[in-house]
Amino acid sequence: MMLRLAARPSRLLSLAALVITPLLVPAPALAQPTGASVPATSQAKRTGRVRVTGRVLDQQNAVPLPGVPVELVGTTDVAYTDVDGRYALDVPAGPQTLKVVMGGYVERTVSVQAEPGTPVTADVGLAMEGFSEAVTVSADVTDANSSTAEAQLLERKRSAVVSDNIGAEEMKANNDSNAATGLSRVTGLSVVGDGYVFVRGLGERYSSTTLGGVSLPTTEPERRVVSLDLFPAGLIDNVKVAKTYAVDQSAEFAGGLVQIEPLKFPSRPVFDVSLGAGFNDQTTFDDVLGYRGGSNDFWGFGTSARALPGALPNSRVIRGAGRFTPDVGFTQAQLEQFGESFSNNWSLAPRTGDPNQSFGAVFGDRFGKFGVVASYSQNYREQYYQDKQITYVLGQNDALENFVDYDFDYATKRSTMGVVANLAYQFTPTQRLSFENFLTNNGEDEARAYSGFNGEAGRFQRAQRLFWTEERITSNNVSGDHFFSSLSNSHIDWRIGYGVGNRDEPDLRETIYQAINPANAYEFADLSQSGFRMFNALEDTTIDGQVNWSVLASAKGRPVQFKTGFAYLDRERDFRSRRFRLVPLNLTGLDLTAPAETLFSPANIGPNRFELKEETRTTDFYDATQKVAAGYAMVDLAMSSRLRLIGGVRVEQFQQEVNTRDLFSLSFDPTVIQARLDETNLFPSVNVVYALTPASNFRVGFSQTANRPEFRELAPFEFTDVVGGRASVGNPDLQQALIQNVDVRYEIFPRAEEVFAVSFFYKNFDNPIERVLEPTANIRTSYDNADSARNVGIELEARKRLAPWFYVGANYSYINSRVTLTPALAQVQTSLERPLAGQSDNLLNVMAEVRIGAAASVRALYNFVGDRITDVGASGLPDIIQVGRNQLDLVYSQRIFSKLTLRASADNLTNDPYEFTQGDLRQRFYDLGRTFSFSFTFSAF
Amino acid sequence: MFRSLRVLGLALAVAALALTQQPTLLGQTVIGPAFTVPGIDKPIRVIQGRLSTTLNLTNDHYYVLRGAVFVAEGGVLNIQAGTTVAGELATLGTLIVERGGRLNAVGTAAQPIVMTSDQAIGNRNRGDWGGLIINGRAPLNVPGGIGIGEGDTGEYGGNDVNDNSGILRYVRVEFAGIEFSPDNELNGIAFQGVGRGTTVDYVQVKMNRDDGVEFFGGTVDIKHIVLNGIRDDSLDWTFGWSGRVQYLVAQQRGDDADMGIEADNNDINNNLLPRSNPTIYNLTLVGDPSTTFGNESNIGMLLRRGTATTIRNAVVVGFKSWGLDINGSASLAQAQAGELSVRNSIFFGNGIVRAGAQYSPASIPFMNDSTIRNADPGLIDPFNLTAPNFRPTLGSLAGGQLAPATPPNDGFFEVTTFIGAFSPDPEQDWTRGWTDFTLR
Repeated sequence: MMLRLAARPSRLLSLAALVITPLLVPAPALAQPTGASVPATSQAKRTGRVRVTGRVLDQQNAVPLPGVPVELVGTTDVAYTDVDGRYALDVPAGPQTLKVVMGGYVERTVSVQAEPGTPVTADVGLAMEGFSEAVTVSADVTDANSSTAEAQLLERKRSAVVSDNIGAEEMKANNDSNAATGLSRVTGLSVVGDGYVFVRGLGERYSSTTLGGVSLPTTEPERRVVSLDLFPAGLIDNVKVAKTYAVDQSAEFAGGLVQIEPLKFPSRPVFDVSLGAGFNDQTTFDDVLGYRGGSNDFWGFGTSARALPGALPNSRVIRGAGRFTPDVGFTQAQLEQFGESFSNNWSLAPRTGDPNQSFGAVFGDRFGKFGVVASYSQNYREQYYQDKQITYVLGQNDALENFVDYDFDYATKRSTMGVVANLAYQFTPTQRLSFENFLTNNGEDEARAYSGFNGEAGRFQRAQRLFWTEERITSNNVSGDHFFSSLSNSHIDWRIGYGVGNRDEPDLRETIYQAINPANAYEFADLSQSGFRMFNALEDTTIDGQVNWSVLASAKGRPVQFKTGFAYLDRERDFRSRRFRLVPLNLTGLDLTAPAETLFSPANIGPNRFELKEETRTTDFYDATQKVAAGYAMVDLAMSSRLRLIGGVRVEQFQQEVNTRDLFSLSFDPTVIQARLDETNLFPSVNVVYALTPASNFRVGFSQTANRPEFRELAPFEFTDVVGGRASVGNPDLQQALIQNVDVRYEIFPRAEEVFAVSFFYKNFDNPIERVLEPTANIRTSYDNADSARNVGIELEARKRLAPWFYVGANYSYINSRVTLTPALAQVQTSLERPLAGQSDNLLNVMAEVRIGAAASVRALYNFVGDRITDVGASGLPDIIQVGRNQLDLVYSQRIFSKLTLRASADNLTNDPYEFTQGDLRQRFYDLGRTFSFSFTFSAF
Repeated sequence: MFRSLRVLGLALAVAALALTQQPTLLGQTVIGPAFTVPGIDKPIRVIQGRLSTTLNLTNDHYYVLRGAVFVAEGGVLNIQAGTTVAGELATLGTLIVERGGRLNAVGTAAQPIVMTSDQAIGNRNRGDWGGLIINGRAPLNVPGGIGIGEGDTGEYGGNDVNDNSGILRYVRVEFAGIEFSPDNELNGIAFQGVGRGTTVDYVQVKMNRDDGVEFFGGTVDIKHIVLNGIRDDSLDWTFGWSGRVQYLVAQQRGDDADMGIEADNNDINNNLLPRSNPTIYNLTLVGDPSTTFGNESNIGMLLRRGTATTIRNAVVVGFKSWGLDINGSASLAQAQAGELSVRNSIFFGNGIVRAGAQYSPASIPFMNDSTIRNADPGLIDPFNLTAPNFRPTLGSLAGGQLAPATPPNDGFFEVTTFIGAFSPDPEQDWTRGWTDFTLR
């Protein structure tokens, strides 16, 4: 359905007079029908009315125009746009005309065909008076909801930068449960590991994430980014990935900026409840592994059941005192008491896998000047898989020889809870205050067992590990939007965000048993990972303050938006890890084949059997701070009706400090700065948008941005990656990398829901920060500035409705990157020139949707991620490569009656394996099975 | 919350240290004032930090190593005969000689230097403290030629085959091998790129948690070595060590011993150069054939991952699985080329006579040599853990019957009339006086 917009000369209208509005609308599309003389309550009850919502924007640069009256011609009904330029108006069924008038702009009328039961969206572009090249812009008609695919395409079309995005409705249609899987459908994006998004082949160090416009804390001890699978789809309105840089964002930008928008206020009351279940064909009702955990594990809260015993001092390393310095350390009796205070629960046992379960509820409405949206979701998921992993060495004639050969069994239970509670108060249509609260909690319990031959030890080994991880992000934002027409149409927005990220890994436990002859009974092994337990806790706090001021003016009749602003980000990190072992001192006469619970019974804890020893490193405690102060100025200028120029510059001052205890000193002075970086830089950006036709854009962008060391990468001492990773040492000489970005895109939006786009990008990195390998006996990692790197690629995207019942879309990316290392830098690393680790050459997504009648549809989704390096090889060993993988998912949706919808899905239908190779040999291999799920959604309104 | 806990922790740690009153200056060695503790017969001084000048330790004090103590380039640590140095368990006390630093520990048979646990005698265990790490400038086969010590213990390796890190003579290193960083237990003595200008003669490593002595490349020679009660491998080498050894005895305890010798060229890429290729004469490796303490102590010599070596006049007894195991295609190639060989040696009482786990003896040329014997060597009391006697009886297989090979006449090796590390003549027992076999 299309609308026609007719332009005719307008009268000047005083904006100031319009501020007196009887009904004040809290949030974007929440506007109720507003008539100057009609109370909202009575109007809402009028029958046969159809809601029209939309935005009023400057036609040339897409700046929203607040406080603009939208009248229903022939009546006194009028609605005023809010600070986002949004309005909502209820009109009688039938053909209607809306009139939009604003001082300095050409008045417009809009024809709307209002049919009962079908909400209508009419976005209106206004042209400045005297801007002679008047063009007719077709207003797109879509659902008012910004989370649909159509709305997302509109958003893209107007954007000042090259961007791609996905809305909640699209994620729902794809049956994607969280932001990470949702983003894997987006052009140029791939998801690596547990939810790290690679944008254009650039790893997690090159992408950053905001939630509701503010920086997020992380739950990762080694990184600054956040895993996107922590964000349930039910809490998200849309996710946008900006691929070119604009100076009103942080200059730490390379691959892309992932902007998650939490649920927005719906345009009408919403109350949805959904309930779902699913099963995996190699997990649910099958034999998997487990152990006795805590009573709240199912809900994702298992840390308190695994807490460090209260008997242990929080402040001192648990080790024995010596005879020369008896006051440094603990007595044997104390060590015994500490050792017996831990839970004695080490072994895995078979159990039957439970089905996946999900529950969600969303509520949104307005109450007078208040708008409210709240959502709760709870998702429980189990996965069992068997994973074969081989470690190779280079033997005679450089042949790879099998050295360690393990078969792993993993059984995971993952429970994600999410809550959103947003509140807005609109004083007047042009003055709004919002309070947004977001919580996500993810508890994952992993029972892991492995068995196989370890060539280093010359023994067959069997290990069991109990590993609980709990991650939580809370984010509280207060923001204000204010429009002052008297102040040259100033729009001032500000936000203060407070975020906390937590990660707890309480009481990881592992035991290893081994045998020289696998036919014999396996005996408890005195190895550093055996009888081992560890407690990790991380807290990351961010305070993000921003204020932006934009002025919309006219220069020679052309709209010009000036924008300036300041931002301040303070990030603090606290990390502590404690490692313990029950070390055997005397095993004579003990049956070492007994289960760990027998070996570690209280009778066996003491100086004559097993003694508790703490193996915490001094670098296992650190705190770090990062402060970024920034200011920018930019201009968004319509050079003509077709040409839009957005340019500006940002200045950023960046400070980072890492403090830790000196590895070899008992003393710890928290004020001692162990590593510090302090930089101030200018970051320019220019984006040009040329509208070849009203429905197509040609975009060119250039910018310079930065990539900075993570907290620990700067610290000049060795630490150990938290779980089973290599030792790693920071480099205090690291420099920030500067990146020059060039982007070109041609895009056509033939109709709503349809797009065709071709993009090209080129990025040059000066001093890129790369991981290098150092020749310790077990190889440790460090970081250094390589000379240079480049990343170049092409992206293609098309979405088309081929028939009213048939909708298809596809996107493809080809990416080619190259890092060059000098031999001195590479040390023992095998490849001096290679693609960036984690970058796939080819990414492909294909989607096809068939509607069956009015109430049902089937959607098929295909995803391919090409070969990529997962580990760079050392001392001549080849790099480890993850082989390209296909995935096919099917989603069936059926409206059972008007308020109840069934969605059924089959994920991973072809069950392609995850395969890793080294040289020509298979290094790792597993598959995850097929998952079948269904859910019912009940919508009260 | 973390911060307040940490402040509290700091306060408690400071309080705990108050007795010893150590001033802390990062980057330089501080030797604390002498103090006394009831029941300890000498005054005590604490050493910590980094030494870049000369420090003399004398036998009228006990010294406690607090944390990792470094002898930096230009630093010299002289230890007088008869001095005891203890590594502090609570702080992972460890002694590290960096490249260009010197450790001169010159004891005598009557007054050996003892580096030991700070725990009470009778309550000492393996892994009570770190041990001794010596970093030198001799070559390695790690790509780039420089290795990095684990747990931030500095760089090692270089081009100087004659590099000199000092003297170890009549020194015992006991109860060391703490887990210094996760998954990284320390060796009794780690010789990392140590050059042959260094003197190592009359050294005992007893009850260490990891290997007894391990060589990471380098060219250093060692003589008169006792390794007993070692939990991992008694003698270990990797990364291209090419030194010489004469008179080495290793005695294992079955609770958790690993190999008598574990030898690698390079663990990741087996044929990197320079190749590990030590020359070893007069070696006695004693496994633990009993299961009293446990089922470990399995392989006498594990030669693998590309190592070459010349081993002569060896006695290998009492290992539960194999006397000799050649493992991996790269070491097999060395054996077939004659670069890896064991001759004039006796294997006896090892689970399987002398075959490797992976290759048949027929494929290994020296295995069929007539100078390799499988018969009782005639040692007097080799398996006694607290008062062993490793000497062969006169006229036994090791004590004169089997002719020993003649070592190169290079000024290092001595010509012997016996197989193994010991002469039948009790007067020539070089372990007398300075060694100690107390196991706790």
